[in-house]
Amino acid sequence: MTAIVLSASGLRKHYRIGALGDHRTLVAVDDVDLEVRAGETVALVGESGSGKSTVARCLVHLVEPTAGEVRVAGEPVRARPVAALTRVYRDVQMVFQDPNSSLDPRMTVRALLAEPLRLHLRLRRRERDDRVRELVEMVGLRTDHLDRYPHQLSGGQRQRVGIARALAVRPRVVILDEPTSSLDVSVRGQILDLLARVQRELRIGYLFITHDLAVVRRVAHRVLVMYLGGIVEQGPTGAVFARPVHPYTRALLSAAPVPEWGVRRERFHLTGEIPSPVDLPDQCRLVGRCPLAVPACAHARPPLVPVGPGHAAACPVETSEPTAPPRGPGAVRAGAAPD
Amino acid sequence: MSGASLRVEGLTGHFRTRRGAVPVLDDVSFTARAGQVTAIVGETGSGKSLTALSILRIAPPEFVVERGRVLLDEVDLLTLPERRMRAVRGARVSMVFQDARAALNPVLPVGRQLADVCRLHRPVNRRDAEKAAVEALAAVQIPDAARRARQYPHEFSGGMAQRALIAMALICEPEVVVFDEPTTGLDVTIQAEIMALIGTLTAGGLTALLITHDLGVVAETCAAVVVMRDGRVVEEASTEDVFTRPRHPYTAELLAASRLVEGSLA
Repeated sequence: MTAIVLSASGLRKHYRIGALGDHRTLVAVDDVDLEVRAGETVALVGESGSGKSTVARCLVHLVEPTAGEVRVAGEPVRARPVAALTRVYRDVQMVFQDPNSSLDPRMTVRALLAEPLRLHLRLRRRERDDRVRELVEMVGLRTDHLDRYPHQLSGGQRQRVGIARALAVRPRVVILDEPTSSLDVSVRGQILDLLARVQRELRIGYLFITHDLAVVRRVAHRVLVMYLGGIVEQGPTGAVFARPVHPYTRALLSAAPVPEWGVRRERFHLTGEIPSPVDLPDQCRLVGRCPLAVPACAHARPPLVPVGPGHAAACPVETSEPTAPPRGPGAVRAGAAPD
Repeated sequence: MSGASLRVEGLTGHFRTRRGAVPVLDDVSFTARAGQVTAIVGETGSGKSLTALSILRIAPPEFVVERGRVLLDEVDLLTLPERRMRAVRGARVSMVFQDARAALNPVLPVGRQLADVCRLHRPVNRRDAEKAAVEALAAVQIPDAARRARQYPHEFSGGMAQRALIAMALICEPEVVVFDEPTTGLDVTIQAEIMALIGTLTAGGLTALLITHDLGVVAETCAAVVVMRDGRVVEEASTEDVFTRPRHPYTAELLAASRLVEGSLA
């Protein structure tokens, strides 16, 4: 079995909000466990407000988690001393959604790529130049792009620079936060292509944060579905897409339009919108919106229960009724034998 | 709501810049039929949004139309005097913009903003206009519309704000509504609801023009598709034809990219 390069257990992030004497708690991330192996792509999906970006930021202490442990290549991540965290950033790098705002507009591509080499690897100028050329080639840019500024590049080229910068220090794992959502579809394919090639060559682990289900299906080996700060379903991508178990996953997958003529999807509807994550009671997060909810759903927060090999869902209704009747396409019989 | 078809003919124009004219639209022609959603698809810089803005004559001032016509009931909107165009805009042809919360005025209650549009075009008093605003909000399935009308845009979620903007576009019962990326930035579950709403409106006779880059949305809700690239229309066909028998290689490329076809990734 391949080595786990990034893992988190019991990850939580709470924010105290409200005026003095009227403190309330906003739960952005609630008890998240995850692992990413070398050469594996794990997708973290969810809608806005689900906490997926906060998870990414907690993993690298861009946001200080309230509780939980993060390990990189088996070593616990500590925020202090700063040097320890700097060491972590050699192994874990991030690629952000908007390359317009994540690249310094006053630095040339050369300077942007040389900076991490200088800071993390302390390479000399000559070595830096060689590595910068190597990186530019790896991400499909030309050496004459080196003296350009970000505004002189297209969106796709800028994202290539963002990826090259992340790869510069030879990380074990890269966290990609919506890396293609600001790009045109034709460029999206090229960037995913690039990421797949780099992963094969370097055996990097990817944690891929996205709301684009077409992308998840195409690139992820495993998928984690987040709703209101918690993971409600996880499993191999094929299994989750073929047999989504949790009502939220079913609603999410059935809402995504597919670019094919004559495909009639059977929608699984939830009512209302994602509620406020402030002062949530200890119950299933979906309780007010779910058509399958039973009284038990309001009693305690359901844990993730295995429903297939590596596949688990946090829904007491869907995971405890072995004789439940089929519910149309996308429905799954709990505990059903895997293919 | 009775629709009228909208026909764009030979629309050609350029941007005036310090370095001279930059051509951006080249002989753009298509028809949006009543009671249907017609999609204009294309990538960044294809000219799809500029085409939409030109229909309402609200393109940036640097954009110069060289020739072409925008026909609504045989009347060329491009030749109307501005005063008469103002009577068309919002009343007969209206527009829904991409970022709903940015399109709404943050310092006025949402209902008031809808009522203002109503009063601009109709001889109604404030109270009747506010009543019409509440009805318009209810018509786009905003729950508790009377209370919502008194709220400010920041109290609306993205999906609710988009519904309110659609209500604003519909309050004067226009024949044509141009939707410019109405679901970009919204979650898929909310997107599905907004598209279902647009489908219901066209079933009632409305002519809808949907500017989008999302071919999934097109496949599900549109009857016809106009594919644009570099300021030109490369293909205009029924949705079925575009998805099953694309004639232009660019259309086929765009489809392959949207589907993330096996093999397109090494």
